[in-house]
Amino acid sequence: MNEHEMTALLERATQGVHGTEALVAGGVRRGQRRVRRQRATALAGAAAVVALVATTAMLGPFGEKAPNPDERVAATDVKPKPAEAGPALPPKLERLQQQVMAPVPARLVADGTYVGTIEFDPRDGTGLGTVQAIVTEDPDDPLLSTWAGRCAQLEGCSETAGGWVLVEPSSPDVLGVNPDLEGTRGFYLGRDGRSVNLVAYNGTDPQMGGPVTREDPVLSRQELVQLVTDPTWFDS
Amino acid sequence: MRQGDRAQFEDFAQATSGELLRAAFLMCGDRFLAEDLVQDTLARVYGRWSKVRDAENPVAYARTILVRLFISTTRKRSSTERPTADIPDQACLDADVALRHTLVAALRQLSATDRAIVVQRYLVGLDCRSVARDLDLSEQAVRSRSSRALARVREILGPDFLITSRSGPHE
Repeated sequence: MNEHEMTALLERATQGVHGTEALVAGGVRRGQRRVRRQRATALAGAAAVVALVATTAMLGPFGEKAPNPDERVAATDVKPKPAEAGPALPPKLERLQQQVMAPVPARLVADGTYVGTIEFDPRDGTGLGTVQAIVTEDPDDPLLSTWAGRCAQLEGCSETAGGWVLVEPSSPDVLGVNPDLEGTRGFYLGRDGRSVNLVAYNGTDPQMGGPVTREDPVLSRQELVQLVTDPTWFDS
Repeated sequence: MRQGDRAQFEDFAQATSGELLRAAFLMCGDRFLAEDLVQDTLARVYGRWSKVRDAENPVAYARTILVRLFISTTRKRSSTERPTADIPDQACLDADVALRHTLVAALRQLSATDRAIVVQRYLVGLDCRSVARDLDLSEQAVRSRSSRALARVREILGPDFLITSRSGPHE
């Protein structure tokens, strides 16, 4: 059998196979769903940034909880220190970090902000959970001038050699549809303006209210601290 | 998507869905899987229609998506996919249906990539360079794999297949 005979056979074998209107309509429907999903994902990313900004505003120099200006530490007063080079991450956290950063084009993090959402399987039989990440680098972050004083007043916030670490519960059930949905936020702000904000949930699709897939958020408080203070986020 | 763009996309989809479905059918070996693959392909083209319609060759773009989706979904399904080794009894089938079953069964004994190469080269009529680009292979790899695949199909079908298949109603 030569190439021409093969072509003739394939053509004969597909005689009578035609596209239909139903096929095209199905493609259009899937396309519309796909576009809607992409828009929803983009909105969720934007909402996560808004949430971070709102948290910043709440905990920063605005509103009732703003610290006394005397307590503020000017960015220039804080000597930048290199990011904490702690021990290497355990394999589970390293895998999560790689999964979060996989779609990030080189240098994107260094150029600004990266927002990523993944479904993470800890592979210990406890179930999947969503993890949202916001990684930023801004040496002029206004938080730098106020965070030292603010951190001292916050339960769950501690100062480290390189910056500040906050771990707190998040309130993912913004739609009010799933009170069992829980999240834990880990936030690191380095004195050099690098920050990592991670939220781990006990379910998937938290923006839409669930479903709950686990008993606890997919990362413990200790794991969140390890992850947000890891300097590897900025290695790419 | 604006109404005019959607109508334009639907015209494009109507015009190309047959070609895409025939290629998908031979690659998947199953009508339902093929329709699923074509709909996924059209969905992706739909999402990028404003760019695709201005491309030099929108049909080639859709074909590329189809073949890449096929390879990707086959990898995901590799634990469940089983090649069909049994060639159906041709005596009880209409000649063209028998030909289709036999050929599909033979193609399913090739790897997914080789199947895609055979379909792209011999049904769609693409040159080795285009197939290599679509499948992320070298031209040399496509050339040697298509030649091996052709020999393998020949071996599976047997020396008399061409003669018996020519006796069908269309020849």
